[in-house]
Amino acid sequence: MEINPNLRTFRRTKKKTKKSSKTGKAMFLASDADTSTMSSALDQLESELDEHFGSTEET
Amino acid sequence: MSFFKKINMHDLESRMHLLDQSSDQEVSDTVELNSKQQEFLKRYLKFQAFFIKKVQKDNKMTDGYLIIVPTKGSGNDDIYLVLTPKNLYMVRNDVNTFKFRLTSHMLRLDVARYPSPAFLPSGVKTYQAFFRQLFSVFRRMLDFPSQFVISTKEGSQLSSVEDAIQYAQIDKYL
Repeated sequence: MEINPNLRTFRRTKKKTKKSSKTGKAMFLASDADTSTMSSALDQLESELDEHFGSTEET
Repeated sequence: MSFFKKINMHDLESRMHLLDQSSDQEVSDTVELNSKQQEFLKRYLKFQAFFIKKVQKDNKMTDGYLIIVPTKGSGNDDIYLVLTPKNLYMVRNDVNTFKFRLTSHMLRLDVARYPSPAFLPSGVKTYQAFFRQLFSVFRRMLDFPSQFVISTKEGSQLSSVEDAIQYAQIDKYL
């Protein structure tokens, strides 16, 4: 049986995923569908900000 | 490690007269929001809740609140945020130091100016400036998440969160 020479290299370079530190610090992962959704929602809010708060009379 | 530009209390004391003479309208000219403005705040809070869920999902959080601090040199290092699903707090340290609060149950923006801890309703111009700054921070977080430190704290009782939001003690939360 032939052994794929790349397989061994792959195993050696595979890294374990690190868990969150004990200090409670969290990571924010970007570049996925959720981030795109949030970016679009933020675009919408930004575009409406002046419309709603730009010219209101103060009391 | 310096995650947040610390307030130099001596500098602050020397500028105290500026707090009294501030021409900034942060605390005055309160306004009753119309229905469209209230709707805007609700939609913002939905966005915030989604953001928190995202962080919870990525980090397997089940409870608590987020403290978001821009790293030094990121362009927003005079601000830090504390988020719960229904509340937002922002501390901004510029010439003056302000503490902002947006809560879903009151649906309005309150502001406290250092050294007073008391929140007062803000004027409409403050809403605009506040959200512009806030959106800028969120935009930067989405584009450059590595420029921010997000810390989680368990137990998000409203009173405990409010007590935790200090003007100049961010280091203790990190």
